[in-house]
Amino acid sequence: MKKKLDIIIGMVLLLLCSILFAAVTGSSTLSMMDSIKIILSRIPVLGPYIDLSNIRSTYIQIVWDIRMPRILMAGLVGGGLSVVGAAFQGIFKNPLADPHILGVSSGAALGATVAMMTGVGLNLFGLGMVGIFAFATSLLTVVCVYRIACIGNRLSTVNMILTGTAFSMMLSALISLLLSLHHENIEKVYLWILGSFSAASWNKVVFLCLFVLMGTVCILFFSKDLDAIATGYEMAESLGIDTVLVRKLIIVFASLIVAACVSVSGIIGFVGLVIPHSIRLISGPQNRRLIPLSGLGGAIFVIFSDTLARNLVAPSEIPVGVITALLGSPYFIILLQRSKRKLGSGS
Amino acid sequence: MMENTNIITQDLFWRPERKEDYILENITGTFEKGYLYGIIGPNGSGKTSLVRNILRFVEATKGTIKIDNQNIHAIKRKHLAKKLALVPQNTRMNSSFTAHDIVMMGRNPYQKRFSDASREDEEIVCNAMKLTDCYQYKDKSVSLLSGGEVQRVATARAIAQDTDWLILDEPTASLDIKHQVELMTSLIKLKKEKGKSIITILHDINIAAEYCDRIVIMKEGRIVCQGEREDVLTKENLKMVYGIPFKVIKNPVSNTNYFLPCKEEYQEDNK
Repeated sequence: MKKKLDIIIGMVLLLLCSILFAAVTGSSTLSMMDSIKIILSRIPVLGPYIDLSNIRSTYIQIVWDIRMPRILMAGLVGGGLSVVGAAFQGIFKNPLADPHILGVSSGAALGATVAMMTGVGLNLFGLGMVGIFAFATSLLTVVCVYRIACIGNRLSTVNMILTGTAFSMMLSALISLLLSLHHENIEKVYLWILGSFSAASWNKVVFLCLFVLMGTVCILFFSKDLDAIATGYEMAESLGIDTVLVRKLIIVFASLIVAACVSVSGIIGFVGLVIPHSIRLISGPQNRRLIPLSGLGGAIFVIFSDTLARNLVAPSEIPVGVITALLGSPYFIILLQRSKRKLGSGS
Repeated sequence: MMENTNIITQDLFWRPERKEDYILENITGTFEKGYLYGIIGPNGSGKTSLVRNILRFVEATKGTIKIDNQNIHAIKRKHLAKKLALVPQNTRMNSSFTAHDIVMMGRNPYQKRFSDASREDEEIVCNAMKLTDCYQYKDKSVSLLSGGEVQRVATARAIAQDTDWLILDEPTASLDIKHQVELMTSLIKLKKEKGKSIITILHDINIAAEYCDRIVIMKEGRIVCQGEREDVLTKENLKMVYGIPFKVIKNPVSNTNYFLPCKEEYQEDNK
C-alpha cells in the first residue's frame, strides 16, 4: 500500500516540477527567479509575502496570463486524453483503442472546418465559434456512431470500433472535399487539426477543468467494474456487473472529455494510446490506479511536449501534435520491443 | 413449489436476436438444491446456451427461468451474483492481473465501490485458492499460467463468490487427467461440506457417470432425458443422442457404469 502511494506522490511532484519548468522556459528575456516569484505570488497563502515591485508588469502578464493558462490547458488535455485512452482500452478490451476511436475527433475537425469557412463570430465561455462548433459536432458524431453500431444488437464493441473508424474516414473525406472547394482555408484548418495550445486562455482552462476533472472522477467510479471486464464481458456479468450500462456511461463521460479537449486544442494524437500503456507497466492492471496515474502521466507528457513546441524553433512554433507523435512513436516502439508480453494485454 | 432454492426452467425457448431458428426449444426442468448435475450432449446441442440463459447473459425468447421462486430477470444482477457463480469454458485470460487479483474479483458482489478487500475477503480468497490447488502461484500474472492453471484460478474465483450454485462449462476440457480427477473430487467435496449445488457441462460421459448425481442429456436444443444417473445414462439413450453404439462395463474402482464407444462393426460382431 505504501509503495503504491509513493508512485502517486512522485507523479504529482513531477507534474508540479514540469509546470514550473514550463513556466520559466520561454523566448522572452525573463529570469527564472522572477517567473517563480510571479507564480508563487498567486498562491493564496504565500501570495502576500512575495514582492513583485521590481518586476515589470508585462513580465507578470507573460507568465500569468499567457504561459500559465497554456500550461494548464496542455496538462488538462494530456490528462483527459490519457484517462479516456485507459478507459477505452478497458471497455473495448482492445489495446489499440485510443480517445479518437469513436470518431469524436474527426467530428470536431469537421465542425471546426465549417466554422472557419463560414467565419461566424460568436463567443461562449471564451471558446469562440470554432471551439463551439467542434464541441457540438464531435458529440453529435459519437451519438451517430453509437446509434448506428447498436442497431439490432445490444452493444457490440467490435461494431462500435468499426463504425467509428468508418465515420472518421467519411468525415475526413468531407473535410477534404470542403477544403478542395475553398483553398484559402487549407493552412488554417491544417494547423488546427495538428493541434496547438497557442490560443489558451483562463476561460478555456475553467471550461476544460469542468469536463476533464469531473469526467475523470465519474470514470474512476467504475474502476472495479473495468477490472472485471478485462477478464471478459460475460465473466464480469456473472460477478454482478451490468456491463452494458458501464460501457454506455463510460462512453458518455469519455466522449464529453474528448470533445472538450479537441474543441480547445485540436487533435493531439498518440497521447491517449501511449501513456496508458506506459503507465500500466508501473501501475499494474488495476484501473483505480491506472486511470489516475495515466491522467498525471498524460499531463506531464503534453506539458513537456508543448514546452518543446513553443521553444524549439522560437519565435515560431511547431504544432504540438507533431511533437507528441514524434516523441511518442519511437518511445512506444521501444516499449513494445522490451515488453511484448505485458503490452499484449488489453486490460 | 416446496423447495425454494431450486433453479426451475419453464417452457424455455431461446434464439439469438435476428435469427430464425431456436437454439433452445421447450426446455422444462428443475435443478434441485444439493445435487451435482451433469449436462451432456453432442456439440451444438445447446448445453452452453442453456447455461448462458440461466446466468442471464441472454434473455429468454419465451418461457421463464426461476431461482428461489423469482424470475431471474426480476433479480438485481449484483444479487444474482450472490446466488450463481460461473467457471467459464474458455478461461484463457490475456491480462496482467495476478491469480490473486482474479480470485479476489469473486468478492466483487460483496464489496463497495471504493473499499479495499476486508480481512474476511482475504481469508475466503486464500481458502478458495488452496482448495483448487492454485495458492502457490497467487502472485503470478494469469497471462503466464498454463490453461489448466488458469482453470483452477477461475474455479477458485467462483468458489470465492460464495454462492448457492456453482455452474461450470466443461471444466475438465483443458485439464490433464490428474487435475480432472482432482477437480471433480473437489466438486464433490464442495457439495458435501459446503452444501453447494453444482451444474456442470461435461464432454466426458464417463466422468459424468462417475461423479454426477443427476444427468441432463441434450440434443438439438432439447432436453432428451433427465433424472438419476442410473436411469438416464443407458446405452440406448447414448446411442440415440450420439448416434454410435456403446458397450457398458462396470468400473471396478468406483463401481459405476463405464461406457465404451464402439465402432459399428464391433457391435454387430457381438450380436
